[in-house]
Amino acid sequence: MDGLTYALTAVTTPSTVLAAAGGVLWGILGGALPGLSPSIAMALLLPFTFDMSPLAAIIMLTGVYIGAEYGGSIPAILIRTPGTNAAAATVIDGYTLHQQGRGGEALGLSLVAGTIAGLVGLICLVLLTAPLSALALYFKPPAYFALAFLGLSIIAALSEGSLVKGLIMGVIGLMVSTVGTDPLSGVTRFTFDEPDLLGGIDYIFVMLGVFAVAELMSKVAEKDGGDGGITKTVARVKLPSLQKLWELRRAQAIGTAVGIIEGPIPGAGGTVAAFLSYNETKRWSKTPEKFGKGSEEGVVAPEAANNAVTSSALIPTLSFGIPGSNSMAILLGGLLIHGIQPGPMLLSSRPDLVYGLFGGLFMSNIFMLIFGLLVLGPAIWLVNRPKPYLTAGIFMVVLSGIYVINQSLFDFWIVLAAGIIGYGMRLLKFPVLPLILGIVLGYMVESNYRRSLLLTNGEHRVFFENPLSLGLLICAGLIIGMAILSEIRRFRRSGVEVHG
Amino acid sequence: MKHHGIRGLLGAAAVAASLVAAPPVLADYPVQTVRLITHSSPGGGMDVFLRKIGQHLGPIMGVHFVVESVTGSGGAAAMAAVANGPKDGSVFYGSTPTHIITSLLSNPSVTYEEMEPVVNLFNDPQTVYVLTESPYQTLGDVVAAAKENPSSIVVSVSTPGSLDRQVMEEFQTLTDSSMIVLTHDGGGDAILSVLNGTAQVGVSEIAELRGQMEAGKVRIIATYTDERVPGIGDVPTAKEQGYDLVISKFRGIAGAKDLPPEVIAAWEEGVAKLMEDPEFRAWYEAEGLQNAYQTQAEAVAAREAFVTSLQAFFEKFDIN
Amino acid sequence: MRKATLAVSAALFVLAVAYWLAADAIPASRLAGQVGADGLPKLLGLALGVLSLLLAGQTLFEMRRAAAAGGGDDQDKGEDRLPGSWREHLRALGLIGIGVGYLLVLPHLGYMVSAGLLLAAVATYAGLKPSPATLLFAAGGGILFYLIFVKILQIPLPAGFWPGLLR
Repeated sequence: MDGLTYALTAVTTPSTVLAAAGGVLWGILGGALPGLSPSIAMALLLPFTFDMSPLAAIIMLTGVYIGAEYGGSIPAILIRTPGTNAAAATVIDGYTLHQQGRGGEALGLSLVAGTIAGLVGLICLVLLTAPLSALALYFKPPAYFALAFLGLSIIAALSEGSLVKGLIMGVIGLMVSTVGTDPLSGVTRFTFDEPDLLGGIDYIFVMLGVFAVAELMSKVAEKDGGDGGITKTVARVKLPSLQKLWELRRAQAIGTAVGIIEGPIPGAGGTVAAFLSYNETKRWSKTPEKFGKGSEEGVVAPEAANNAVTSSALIPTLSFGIPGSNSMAILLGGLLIHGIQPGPMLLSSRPDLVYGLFGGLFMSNIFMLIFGLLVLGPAIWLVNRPKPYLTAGIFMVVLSGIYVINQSLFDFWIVLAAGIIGYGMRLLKFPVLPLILGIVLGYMVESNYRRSLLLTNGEHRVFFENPLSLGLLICAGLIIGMAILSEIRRFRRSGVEVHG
Repeated sequence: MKHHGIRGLLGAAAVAASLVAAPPVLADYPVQTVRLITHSSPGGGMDVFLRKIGQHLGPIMGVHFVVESVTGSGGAAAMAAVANGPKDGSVFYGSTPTHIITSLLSNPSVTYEEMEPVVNLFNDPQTVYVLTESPYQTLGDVVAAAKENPSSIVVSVSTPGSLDRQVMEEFQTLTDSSMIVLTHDGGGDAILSVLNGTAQVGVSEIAELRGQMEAGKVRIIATYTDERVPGIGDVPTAKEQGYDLVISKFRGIAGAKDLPPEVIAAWEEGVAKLMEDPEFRAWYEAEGLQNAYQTQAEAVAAREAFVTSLQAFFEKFDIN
Repeated sequence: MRKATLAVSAALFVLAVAYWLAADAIPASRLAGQVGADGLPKLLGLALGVLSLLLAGQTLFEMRRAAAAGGGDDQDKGEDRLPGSWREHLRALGLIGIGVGYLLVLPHLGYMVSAGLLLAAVATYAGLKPSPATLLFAAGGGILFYLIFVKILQIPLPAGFWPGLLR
């Protein structure tokens, strides 16, 4: 029972409690600012942790991570701007709900769903660290490829209305992902000797363009300054009732489970988890037709997923010393500066730290709920300002946040160009999500496909011999098959209507 | 709590450090504050390295150091910040092979040619490791297995443009064997591939392997160094095992071209003292870094040699 | 809308060809593995080419079907119109124009002043009547953004020519 004692010490020591509170609050604010990804929010705070005790430092950093993954949903719902990559899936139904005057409900759902998922994820972290860390080891290149391919197959399901248009956007997304350094040989592709393109195009820029800038463009296009179709202003946050939560249990469970499973897999992360769980929830939903038109499940599932990831993503970092994402790399850096080497020996050499961290994670999730409620009031007040002020303010936030990432003016041009393209896509009814999925997953699909073939000397058999890969590919096949079937049905029906 | 900003705080910490250990030993350095710029993100290897230098070299040189990370463009942004900065000894770059590789592979506005090495401090030994239960004990075993069954040996290396990748491609030419060299997105992923059996052999720096080594999961079978590396068991070098491959992954300080001679002299003298500082020494030996101190003249010559070998490699394998 | 879609499919086809050609120019490296660095790009170029033709075909098919169903179908006409007018789209592009202007002045005027100008410009553009309040909003906003990003977050946004005046 030593573990419990360590955890209790952590939650009763003022310095660690303060570290968790400060970390979460900063994380929520940072996550809500577009451009400040969770990893950048953590990096900005990192130097402050140097003088703290190692436990307080790691609790503060994980607190930032948890807060930021939640904070990203606030602008996603209120201003159609995902504050973090993982909040992209929340935009669809979250912003639609807001336009319907139900933004307060959406914010409440996102907060509560995230908190529940974070706590469930924590329990899994405590109880299932061993099997979940084994999961990370099972993933070899063929399985990674299959996982990414499964993610891409969602394009077929998310291409509302037109499969061809969805596929086109998916292909363009993949094209964007090929810009930069080739994952195997190291030659540069499509960089046109522009050093800013060497590392590829960060997908947050494309997302800010096609979501936020395109939305602002539509707003100013309307003569009266535009109200973005929002009929009623939101008065305040509305937390879901227990009954409501019970109704949404399926979305909550799917989101949480997908998040916990994706978390430990290096490279997959919150964004993929959010999209996968959005799609799965839609498939198993009793009211799939509401998705995209203001579904509560469409907010709960991705938000549960990206907050569940915050717990389980810690597993490979702590048990192998191998970070699976940028955020985890910064956490690792924070530990190394304190002279702590995460790895298989960490639990036996520093149980105080590991169990203390578990206690800290518990606190952070509770603080997320409390600060979430405190922050939402001012956030709602802000979006209820007169439209000209709001439009100017959002544009300025976007144009400032971009600079944080690479500190390069070049990125601004990418965002503005993506804004024009996003605006055009809205006019011609090209779906946005396939584009995002293509960019997010392109690198993972390509590098792992080619790694697999390198390992087998060009034999494609390997994708069907690896059980994980086979299973994931079958799932992907089912998703694609169902999408094609429904497309054919839709096309026939529309033909019948016109002729009949 | 966050209302001071990173740089302000780092500056403050450096000031505090220099106040604690007061007596400045060397002749007056022309400026008070020196910015050390890295392309690595906070907490990354180079960031920690520069911070340690600032901490221990500050008192010796009588200046305070501020570490700044300028990420983006594979180091090109950081290089530009240094080369276009004031040429009075107030701004330097934490240099590793990365900035030379970036310069050669892409066409950044500022390349390594606009910069000049000041001093080199360390060599980061590249090691060959296997799982503890692996049948391979020496490089010879690995080569034998690869010759017996080509493509039965998968070697896990970090990124495509990295030195560990380069050394394994050259190793195949040298031994006339054929192996599969599997590249990854970073050093961590590369270790995971060895742990899960995708690859039989891995190449890595010692610091990244430390956790797995202490847990007894992996063991090092060779190092590509001139001399044996202390602190990792008595592992023979590749050279001792009959494969004449030495890779120098240097870590040093570079600056803009044509810095005042007294600035260079201050660095050479200061770093020479720093390398003997017991605390600093304890840190770098624990990190698995080798003392590879070089004065500016030596560092410039070493860079020329490095660039030549790198260009030869890129040409041989058609990378440009 | 269908005419616009046709135009877009043509543009996408051109993009596909250009992309394929650029992919073909990627140097072949011996280290690239079984599928070269140009493998996926060429496949993507091909896929986009085929898909753009499919989109054009689908649109043409729908146009013919709509024509066959009778030109007087009001509902179909309404659905076929591009949402919004050209005036509106120009207004939307104006926002990007303001953004470009901001980027052009940013390195010279510095972040605080540029931010104030952008806030004033966008607010006016989005329908605010120019008044002392606009000025207050721009000045206050510029200072606020400066404090948040430059002072608190320590992001080295361009300072402009102001520091030069102090020398």
